[in-house]
Amino acid sequence: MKHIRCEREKEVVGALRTGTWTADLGSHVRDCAICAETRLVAERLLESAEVLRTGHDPIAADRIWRQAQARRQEVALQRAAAPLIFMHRLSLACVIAFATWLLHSFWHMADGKLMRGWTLPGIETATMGAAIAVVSIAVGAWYLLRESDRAVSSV
Amino acid sequence: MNAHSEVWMPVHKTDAFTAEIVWSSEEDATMDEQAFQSLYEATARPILAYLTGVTGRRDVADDLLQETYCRFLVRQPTISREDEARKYLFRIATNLLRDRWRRGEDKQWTESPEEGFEPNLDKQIDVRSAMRALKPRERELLWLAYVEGMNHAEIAEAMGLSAMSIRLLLFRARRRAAALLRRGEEIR
Repeated sequence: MKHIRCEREKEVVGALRTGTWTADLGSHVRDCAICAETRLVAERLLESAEVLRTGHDPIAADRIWRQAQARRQEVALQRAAAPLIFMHRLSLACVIAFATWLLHSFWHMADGKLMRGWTLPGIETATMGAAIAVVSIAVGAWYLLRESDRAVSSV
Repeated sequence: MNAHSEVWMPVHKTDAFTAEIVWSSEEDATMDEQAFQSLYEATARPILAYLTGVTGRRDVADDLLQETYCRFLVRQPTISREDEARKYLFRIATNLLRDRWRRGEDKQWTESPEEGFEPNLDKQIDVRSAMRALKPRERELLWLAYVEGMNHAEIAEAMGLSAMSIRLLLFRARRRAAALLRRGEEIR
């Protein structure tokens, strides 16, 4: 088979689909290997499609409609909640940056003149206080994020 | 719905391929339930047949059909004619099929021949055997070209391929399918 396409191939498919088969087309198909091949495949596929179309009912349209409406609401709420999630994440980043800065400053203070002369219990108390502050901030940020994620996922 | 908005009426009620879709309003272009039902009635069976014919499984075809229409409704494309909506639906369905094959979920082909269609039962088995032996893309190509009667440009759009490549791909798919069908006839 030298050629991969015949000009009348489309006509053959059209005739099979509409049932308007002519004698002229029939004689062409007998002489043309491409159209004969097309006829064989298209005819079988069309028969199979007919069986599939009539043999199996699609699910009810209202079920799909309801499902799509629920999904549209979900998408709309996710879009609406996106700035809120962004702000929560931004606030968490700020809290982490602040906590890092606080710790850095504290150690800097401990090395420097400000804490010189402090007694050991005093340094321990200050360290404990700074640690509690950092943990409280971290727990608060985690709780905030968890609540926002839960609100979005429950939508 | 806006009180001042106009409701579009179908121009050709008898021609399912060129009928206009009735949207709830011109301004928000949101399809209402009635318009969706008429579109669904006109397009669901061919799409379900396509999905069943290509996957070979009814349960999978049902799931994919549901997902196809859900995506269509969620995206709400700016389409006014039913034939455009139909092409768009075939495109979504084809994308879903491709996603399924990429996930490697095309191993099972359990569909049995339909009951109550005795005259061509042998032929149906041949077609199913041939389809099963073809590559997923070849099945899609043949179905869209011969059952749906799409031209090369439309197939390219639905499958996300270049129109130039369709001619050669279709030729190869047809040749393979014809060889498989002839072999089936010889065995019978």
